[in-house]
Amino acid sequence: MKCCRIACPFRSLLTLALVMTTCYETFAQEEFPTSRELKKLSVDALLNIEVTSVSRYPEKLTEVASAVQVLSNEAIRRDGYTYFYKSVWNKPGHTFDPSYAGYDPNHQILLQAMADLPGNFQVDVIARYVDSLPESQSGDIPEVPDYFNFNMRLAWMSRKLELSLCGQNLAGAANQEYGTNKIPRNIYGKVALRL
Amino acid sequence: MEHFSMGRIRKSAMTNVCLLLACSALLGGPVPAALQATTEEYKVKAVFLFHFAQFVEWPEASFSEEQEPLIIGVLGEDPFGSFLDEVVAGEDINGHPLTIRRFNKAEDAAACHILFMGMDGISQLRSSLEMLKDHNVLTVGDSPAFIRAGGMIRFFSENNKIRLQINPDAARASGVMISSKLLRLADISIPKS
Repeated sequence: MKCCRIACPFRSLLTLALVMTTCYETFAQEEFPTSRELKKLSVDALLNIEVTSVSRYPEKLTEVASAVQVLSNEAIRRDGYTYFYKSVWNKPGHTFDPSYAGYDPNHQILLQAMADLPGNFQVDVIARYVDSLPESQSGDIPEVPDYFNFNMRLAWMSRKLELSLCGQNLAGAANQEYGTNKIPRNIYGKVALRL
Repeated sequence: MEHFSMGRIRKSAMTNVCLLLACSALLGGPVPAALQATTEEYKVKAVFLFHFAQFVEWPEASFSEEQEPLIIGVLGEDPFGSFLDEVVAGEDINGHPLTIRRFNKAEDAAACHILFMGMDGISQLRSSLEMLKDHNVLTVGDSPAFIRAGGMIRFFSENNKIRLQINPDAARASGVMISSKLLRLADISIPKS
């Protein structure tokens, strides 16, 4: 079907490197050897240890950042801002209803924060902002207002047991995401035993 | 069709976004510098300083008594924190217990056996190194100009690994003998004078 052309000049995933939501990154990293472990290594072995270095150049001491957060590809994929703009029109001589292509929210923001707390507790928060969707041209699908919502998980983990309490869509009692369907607030618990 | 407008964002939703930003900042914000642990790079460098004590010989005169401590000094800004103290705790070299001391001025650091110099200005390095030249101090640094300024061992990084650059002549001139076992693992660099 060559009757229409989709041009998305702004179709790009703009990612805001949100330093504040990457704490899980810090926790996920493999533990660096302790002083006791490092001391046992020979000079040869020390010369082969990879250290996380943000700069590719030898850094002057006074220019070394006092705090460094490394943003992985994963973190950038999971947190971010998306701007999506769709521009659809007919090629000359064709008649095609562009609303066929449907509507997408222009702006979306996704934020995640995951933290390991003392006593084997974990707290995760995932929040999203989704821009509004217009009423369909035929009028049979109503406008969906923009919304903000978040999910939260509180968990306690031991080596074999995981107890967690999760809440979905905690910001709104009933969230309209598409058409007139309303997604209610949702809370559930989970017990997992790993053998 | 055209429905691109930030004006459509309702106030309540934006307030929520702001609130969430604040929450996530609490959970995952950068840790204040004071609470930050020693970086991996300086942890490894701290262990190097400890190892240098085993690969270097000082003239007998640099220890006035048999049990006198072997002093590792840090001059200027201290990137090691308590990690360096942890590394040397309970360690001794030929009966000399290892001790860490921190200094603000080069003239106070002359009694050190090993000195890490955390400054980088070449003129400041030159004058400090000049002052220490006649004492038996193994000088260590990581500023690019360190060897040029007259330092003995310089750390630099290559492919995220720490390498050593050594000027054995500068060490010899101060009466400090660096073992060939260490020299073999380092880049030897003797600046033209």
